[in-house]
Amino acid sequence: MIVDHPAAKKVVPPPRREGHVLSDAVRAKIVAEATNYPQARSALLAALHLAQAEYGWISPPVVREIAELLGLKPIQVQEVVSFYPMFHSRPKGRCHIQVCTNIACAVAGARKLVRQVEDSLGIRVGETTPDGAFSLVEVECLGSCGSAPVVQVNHDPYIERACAEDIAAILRGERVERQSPMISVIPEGVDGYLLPPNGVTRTEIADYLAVGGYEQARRAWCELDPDAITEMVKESGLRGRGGAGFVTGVKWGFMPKNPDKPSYLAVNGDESEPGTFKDRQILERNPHQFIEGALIAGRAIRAVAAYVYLRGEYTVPYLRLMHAIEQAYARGFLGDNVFGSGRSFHMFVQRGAGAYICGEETGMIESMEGKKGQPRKRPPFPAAYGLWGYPTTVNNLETLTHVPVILRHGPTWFRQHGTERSTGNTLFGVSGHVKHPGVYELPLGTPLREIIEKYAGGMANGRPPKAIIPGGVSMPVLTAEHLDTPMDHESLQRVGSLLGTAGIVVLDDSACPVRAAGVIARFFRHESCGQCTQCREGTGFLYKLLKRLDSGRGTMADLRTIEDVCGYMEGQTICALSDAAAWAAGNFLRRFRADFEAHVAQRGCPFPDSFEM
Amino acid sequence: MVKITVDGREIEVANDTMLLPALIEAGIHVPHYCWHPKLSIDGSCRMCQVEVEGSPKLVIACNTPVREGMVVRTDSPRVINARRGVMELLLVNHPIDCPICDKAGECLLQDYSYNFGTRKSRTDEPRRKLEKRKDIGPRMILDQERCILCRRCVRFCREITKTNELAVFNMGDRSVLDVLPDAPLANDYSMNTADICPVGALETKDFHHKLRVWFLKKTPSVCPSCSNGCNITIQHYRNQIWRLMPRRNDAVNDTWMCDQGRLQYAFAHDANRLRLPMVRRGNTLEPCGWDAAVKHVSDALRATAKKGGAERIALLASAHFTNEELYLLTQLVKVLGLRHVAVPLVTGSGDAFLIQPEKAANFTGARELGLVAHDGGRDFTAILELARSGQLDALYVCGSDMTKLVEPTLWQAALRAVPTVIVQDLFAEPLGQFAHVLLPSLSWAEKSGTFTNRKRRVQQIQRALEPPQGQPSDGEIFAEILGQLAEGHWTFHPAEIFEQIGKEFPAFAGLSLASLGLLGAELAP
Repeated sequence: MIVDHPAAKKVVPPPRREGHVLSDAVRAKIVAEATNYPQARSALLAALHLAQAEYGWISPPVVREIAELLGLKPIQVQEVVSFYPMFHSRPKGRCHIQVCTNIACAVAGARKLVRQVEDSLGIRVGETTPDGAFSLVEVECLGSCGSAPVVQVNHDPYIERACAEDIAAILRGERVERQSPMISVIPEGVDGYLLPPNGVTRTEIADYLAVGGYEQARRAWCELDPDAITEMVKESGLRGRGGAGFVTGVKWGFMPKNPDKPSYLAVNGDESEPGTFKDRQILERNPHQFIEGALIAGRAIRAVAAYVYLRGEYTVPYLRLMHAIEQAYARGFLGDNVFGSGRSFHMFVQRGAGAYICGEETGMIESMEGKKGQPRKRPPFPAAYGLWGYPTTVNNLETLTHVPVILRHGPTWFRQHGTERSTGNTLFGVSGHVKHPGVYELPLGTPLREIIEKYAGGMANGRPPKAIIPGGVSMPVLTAEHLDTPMDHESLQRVGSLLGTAGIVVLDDSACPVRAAGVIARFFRHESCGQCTQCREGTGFLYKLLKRLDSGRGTMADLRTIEDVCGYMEGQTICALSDAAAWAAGNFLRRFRADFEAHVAQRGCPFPDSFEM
Repeated sequence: MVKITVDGREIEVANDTMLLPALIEAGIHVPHYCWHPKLSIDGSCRMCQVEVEGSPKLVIACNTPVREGMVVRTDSPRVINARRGVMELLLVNHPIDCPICDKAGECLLQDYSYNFGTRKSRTDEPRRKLEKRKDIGPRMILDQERCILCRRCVRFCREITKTNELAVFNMGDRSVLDVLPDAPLANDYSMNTADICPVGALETKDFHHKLRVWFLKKTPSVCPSCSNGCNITIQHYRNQIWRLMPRRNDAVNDTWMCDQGRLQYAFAHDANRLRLPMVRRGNTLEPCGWDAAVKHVSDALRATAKKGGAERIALLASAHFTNEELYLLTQLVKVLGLRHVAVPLVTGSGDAFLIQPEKAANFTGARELGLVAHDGGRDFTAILELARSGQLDALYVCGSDMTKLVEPTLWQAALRAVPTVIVQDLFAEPLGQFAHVLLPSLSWAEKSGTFTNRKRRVQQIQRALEPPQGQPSDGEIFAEILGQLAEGHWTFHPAEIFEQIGKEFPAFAGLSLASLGLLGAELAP
């Protein structure tokens, strides 16, 4: 589903002719969507979503028709279709069942759900029933680790905490509709500012205005100097919440001060790293604060528009964000005369299509331009050559949600939260073997043990924690001995890991580390964009080696090969996906070497109670 | 220029370049797959990583600008280990079917494995199965398993031909190079993708499974198919051409050539080539010795000149002859006092890139040497009209491509009306039946000399194939005839004649074959 943009111009598509298969309505939506961008090609992903929703799959005639509508060659459309897992170049079942099988869902028994579908329908993963009613695929992380396991049917809202009864209902042809569980909270005693009060969902603009919302954006556009805003954010010490932790104000400072061409704000809402499910909470519960943050950032970097790239599977967050944007346009907070300042600032939302690599900033830019999401080599950097070749700042969605608070209370107030160099609160996602998986807003520097034991309710099955991934599966794994580590950039670096996205995955001692590493390796193999040699071949090789160990065919020499391959993959590629894959596999091997060796010695997995791969 | 230090040695390089081309220019070899001098930088193969002081990570030389004082290591343990990694990983899924691969012997995967690889495999996992010998266009086949996804060919079709036939589909280790079913790789330059493919993924149908490349001898030459003068190497073995490949010349063709030109070579060793001179006796042409044939020609020309004057002799020469051969024809014109001379130019379609409408290599040369009075075509038809109306007693036709310019009935009627027709050509067809003397000609691959391209650039061709023992070159035939008709000692040595041209034609002044080198030189304005 693609929601019409509030400022969309009315465009009439060229008349249908022989060979065209899309309806006039979809054709009109595609050409209208194209007007949201300086280049029509940027509407490609939206066009494919629209076409697939109507036609069921992206057939060669659909490819040709979309190419025609957007002024592209068919091959430029087809290569994009082939790149993104959400687009189907073959017909799928009318009920397309997607089961997330990555780490948190695997731990929560996703494999059983897959088997249930397979056994009931007599098809295997990747197949469609002969009558075309059902098809089944495994997907890599739907960004809902706090309510695992998760199943998605077609492009509908998720079925969270899915169970055997849900699957049975789906197979009976019923539509399983369920409110998302409220899994994000501000724990008692925490001075929270990212989430609305517990239990409250603040999707209406009136509710946000009632708590002083958009006041800081108004100040930014009507009173403050852009550089003063940047200075304030720099002073606050705010660091990016997307994984790399770069100082936000410094990044804004890279943008041209007297631009002779348009500058853009590109917002990264493509969270899709297993263990990470925080941005979704902001969009579902507090979208206006994010919009306000984007407005302030847009002013600070002198941008003409913000383009938000949202992961394609997120349907509810998308609808809520579009609803909020419509309201902001209606009030004149977005548009051609922002807050009556005489200046223009627009906000558009693009839906991704299931490729994790589009969360990498330049992969995202490529995807936003309607291409395969393959990261760009640097130099040039986005601040000089970003979206459509123009200066662009890429910020994570959560990062921008902090910004209104910094302006309201000042940098000094902000710095009172968190540690000296890791300032502010953040949204810690906790998943895996804990009693209460969820998203907890806490100051940076909160000890890992406190997060697991106090907020997440401790371990779920009474077994001790064994492997803890601190910030999304690309971050080096920790062990029980690191439980007292404060969760901030510096402390984690000291113990050989990184904060990443602050998505904590906790595994107890029933979980096989080889299997955990294998599930994560499968993810990176699936998500490698395929450009750089080491990443394309290395991610696949690592997965095969880990699978060998799991199946009992591994040798001691294979352990050495894993180490060498990790060495080849680290620090040598265009983007950090290769590093992430190497860190994950390499550190599981380093921290749990004895368990790996036991797989060789015993010719199989010594963890009888482990989750399935 | 800036000074940089590479492996402890200081070198000077141009200041606005990336490190990789600068190192190559300086003769320092850094292995690379995706980088190509005439394509945009891709930066994905990661083979050209080097160590640069001050940079914590290795950097890819292809995308690192040089700067003053830069200290580079191309041979440190880290660099060596990184290359080893790329090589080991590239081979994890490669089929290693070198025994049946056309590229074997000139394959960068083989060479770099040997030089930088691990020499052992650590995987017995099944390799990726993809399509082999896929027919992707009229002249190309694709082996998807061998492809290392460097995307040179994709960029070629995007940036050079702008036809976009090739793309990499899917992602990760499922990535695969392919075309769309209804849009084959059929552009006029498609075979260049085989040249730039660092492995055996893209192969030409023309060369497929014909010969192991290590048997090939390579002779630098120029493509004779049009007036662009693309630089090539003639690749030959056992006196046969197996393929033509473009040779880099940034002033002419960069590193490319068109498919049509590339495929024009089989005629050179066609079994039907004329190899013995022939003289007409009644209704048949009978072989004769070279001396007799030359004497026959010169006697006829002398007799005709004496009887009816030079007015009754015409010379038609193809624009395929070299400058040196054409120079001797200018001397023949002078000696006999000929007035009816034409170098008819065959034209066809051209494009905005390399393919020119003038379908001969040396029309510009003929013009520079004064053999083209006005417009070649009109001279040609005027001469045919003279012949048809009985105003010619002798006609000397060198080359037969000009017959394409007019209706066959027209030139046939003309030739029938002339009492003495001398034909010098590669084949008996189409002119032989009208000839009274038939002299075998040599192809461009069998002779040395120079062509002048449409931009007035003089470039050398060199003999790649040996003509049969005793068969003189066209230049030698002209020299022999001149020796019979004029005073002095006439011989044919291309280098000497080229120098002589320089003395008589100011545009060529100061040039020598040695100074032309492999890349040629432009004529003075």
